[in-house]
Amino acid sequence: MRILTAEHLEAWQQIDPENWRGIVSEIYDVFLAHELRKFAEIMEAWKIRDLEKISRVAHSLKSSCGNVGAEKAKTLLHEIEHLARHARSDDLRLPLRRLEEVFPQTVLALAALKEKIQAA
Amino acid sequence: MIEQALTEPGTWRPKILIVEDNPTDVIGPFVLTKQLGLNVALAFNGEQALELLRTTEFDIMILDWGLPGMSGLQLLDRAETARRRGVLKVIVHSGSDLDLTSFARGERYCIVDFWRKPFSVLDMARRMKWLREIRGGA
Repeated sequence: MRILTAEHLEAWQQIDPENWRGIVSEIYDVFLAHELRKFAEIMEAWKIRDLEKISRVAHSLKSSCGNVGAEKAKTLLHEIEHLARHARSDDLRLPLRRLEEVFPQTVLALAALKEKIQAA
Repeated sequence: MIEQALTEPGTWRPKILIVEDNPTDVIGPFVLTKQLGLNVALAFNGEQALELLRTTEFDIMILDWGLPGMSGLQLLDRAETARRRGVLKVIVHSGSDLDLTSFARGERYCIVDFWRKPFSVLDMARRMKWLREIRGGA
């Protein structure tokens, strides 16, 4: 599975051929400004085994990842949300470790894609 | 922001309130509603939404069911005046499947549709266009 998919880019190009670059850049800016904090909250909540918070924040971050085509992170967060909601603490270890790798990769990929879009 | 307003004479342009705490979830619907020339306001929590509902007669409220603090259901309970006028139609959106018990309250709260998050951009655009067909009023 890829870190980022391009369907949302193609969709915005279709909806607004003139302004899609500005729209997508704005969506990425909002994501980069607001979602890193949620990732940190999940990791902090894991340290104290606050499964309710992990489930709640993962749910929100999952939705945000869906808006920017961050499919790998979204899939992981879906799993994390489900495991946390069902109090499967031991099973959370591995997907959280994967998220620690994948989420920073996602952020970098989004930042790079935004630069590419704006430069085009 | 997109300012491509529609200019067809006689086209109804509903006043829409989007209530959503997640900025990344807001921006797509906000851009699309503006692009379609619809009148749109944003609230990031229940208190802001209540304040707006007190001062403005909205036709449609797109309501995140899982708001932190005051939930979507609590907001609907407290937005009595807006509901009593019979104008406001509510679209609930959520990243979770709502249980039928919650949704069965639809008639009381004028819930006209349920949107499951996340949806694709094209699906969102199609739903936004549909908003123009919802008429407010009794």
